[in-house]
Amino acid sequence: MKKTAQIVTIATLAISMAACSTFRGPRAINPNDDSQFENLPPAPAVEAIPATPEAEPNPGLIAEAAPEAPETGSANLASPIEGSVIEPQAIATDTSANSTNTASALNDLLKVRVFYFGTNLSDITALSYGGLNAHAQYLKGNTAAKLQLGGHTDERGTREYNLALGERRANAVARYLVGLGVSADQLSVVSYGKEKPSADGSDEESWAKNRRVELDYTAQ
Amino acid sequence: MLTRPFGLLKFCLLACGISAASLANAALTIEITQRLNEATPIAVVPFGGVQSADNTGAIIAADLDRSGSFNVVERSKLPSLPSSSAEILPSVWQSVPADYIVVGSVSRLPDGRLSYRYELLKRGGLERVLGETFTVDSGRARDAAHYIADKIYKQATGEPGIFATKILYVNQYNRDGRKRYRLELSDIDGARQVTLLDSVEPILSPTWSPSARQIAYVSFESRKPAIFVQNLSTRQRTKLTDFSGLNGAPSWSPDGKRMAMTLSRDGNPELYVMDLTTNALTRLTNNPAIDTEPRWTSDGKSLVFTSDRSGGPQIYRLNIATGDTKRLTFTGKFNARADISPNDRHLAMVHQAGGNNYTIALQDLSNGIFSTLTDTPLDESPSFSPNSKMVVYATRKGNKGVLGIMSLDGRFKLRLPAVDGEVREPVWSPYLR
Repeated sequence: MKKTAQIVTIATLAISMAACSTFRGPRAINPNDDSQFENLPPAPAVEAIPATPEAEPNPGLIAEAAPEAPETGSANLASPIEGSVIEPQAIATDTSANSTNTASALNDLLKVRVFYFGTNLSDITALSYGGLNAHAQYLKGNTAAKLQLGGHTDERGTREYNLALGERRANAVARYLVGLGVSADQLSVVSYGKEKPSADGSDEESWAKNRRVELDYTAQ
Repeated sequence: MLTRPFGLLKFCLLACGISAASLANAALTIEITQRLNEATPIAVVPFGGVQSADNTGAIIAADLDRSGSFNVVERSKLPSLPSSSAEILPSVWQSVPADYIVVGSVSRLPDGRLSYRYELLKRGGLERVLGETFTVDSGRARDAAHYIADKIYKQATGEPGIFATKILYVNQYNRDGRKRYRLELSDIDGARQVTLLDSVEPILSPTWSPSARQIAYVSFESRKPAIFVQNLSTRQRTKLTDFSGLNGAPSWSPDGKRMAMTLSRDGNPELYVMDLTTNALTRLTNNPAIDTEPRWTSDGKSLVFTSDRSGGPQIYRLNIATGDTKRLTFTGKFNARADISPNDRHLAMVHQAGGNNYTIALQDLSNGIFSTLTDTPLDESPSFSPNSKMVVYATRKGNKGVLGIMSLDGRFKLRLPAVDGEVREPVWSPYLR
């Protein structure tokens, strides 16, 4: 086996590059001497905030039907709505004042939590209107509710540019909701760019699923 | 609770001074994928005397081989194994097909330090063109070998070598079914890798301070992006920015006193410069487009950056004092995340070469000539070597992220695959002084 993986102390980083051909030996630990790399403390480990595990998907969370191919959007809004259990609190609060039929339709639309975008675009597509309108109605009727909009991109392009593009998508959704009368105070935006794909492949289908904004209620 | 047994073990081994080659699960290994015919042939004789895990001569040979400028004569073709010029029989060695011969030896001093002696001989008269002795601490055998390789490279090519430099990169791996992220530091040959940060949330955009004593990066550990600065000797981290919205793309000014970055705290991704003494922010761009990925020119007066103000992302140059902004790239619809060579001559960037191919391209800023260096589909994050002669970048092999190193003409290429998980966003250190 090649020995390229040898772990030894980094020792001092700096090799004397000066004309003097003698290496400076190990120096006494001096807090201001950053070239002294011996006896490093272990790397800090950052763990997740325990209250918000990302591994288990929210059972009440349903994506707007992911388009099979980039711009076609074969999503049928009716189909993903059927048969899933609604998050109880969100719905109970919201439906109390409405007729059963309207409430049911609204509840179904509220389960749509993922909205998709075209390549390098941040325009909200017509397929997203129904779901976003329902969320707007819910937020207006529940002013204590807080919604986080998470912007995402596909893997093509550079990381920082994609962070900006993901934010542009999340902001487009925020502007749309505010345009419908939602208070901006109820909304927050975070972009993960291409860092958190929902599909891992390198193909059109995966990319289409990854160009998205996810809605996450941080307070009902 | 998640424990870090590996990290602790590593620390223990380190303290005990034991080599732990087999345990470096995230380390890089190197494959040369494309070589040059006209490289200078050189014979590096294994060093005599005290040797640690790797023979000093073998480390030097590997360094020179990977530079693209040398072809190292196979050991089996060496007629003998001299440790000094005095042991060389000219009649035998004159037939060796090498322009240069390197010989040397190591001895241990009573205080434990290592004493090195080496000579570089030129074919023909076998005259010594370089010869030195020096002493290092016992833990610095690899540093000593890289130092000798740098000296040989400088003597033979006239250019400074980069064998004693470091590389910073992000390693994504899986543990317990979850993606995790590590910020890693290693020698440029992949050896002596250490973990600087281990997180369940993404780490990106690592960058070096000009002194190479500190690094900065973006971490999502608080579930939103923040820029951190970390001291490499103490490992101490400080959060530099935590504004609403994007906190990204940190880049140190050449004098080390300012940090360029992308913030969207005023509503849109814009470039800012932070004075690192006062933390005062100056906004540099004001444009509804995305402005991001700043890099300083060596005089500290300008930034090159990515903007989609013309429709798609292209590279621009901003004069910080005057605000004058000039578009630099016009080839293709997508050019982003440029790095500027330390000699200010070249721009390396991610270029959409047509279809879904994102490759590394180079633009010569002296004449505008644009060339595509790679033909792999999802290349990223080019970063120049401090001598401006090589670029390290992230690429794919199969479905896995690996690192590549190539010469600026794209004719010499190396690949550094990760043993565990995938690696990306490599950043080449400045010279270490």
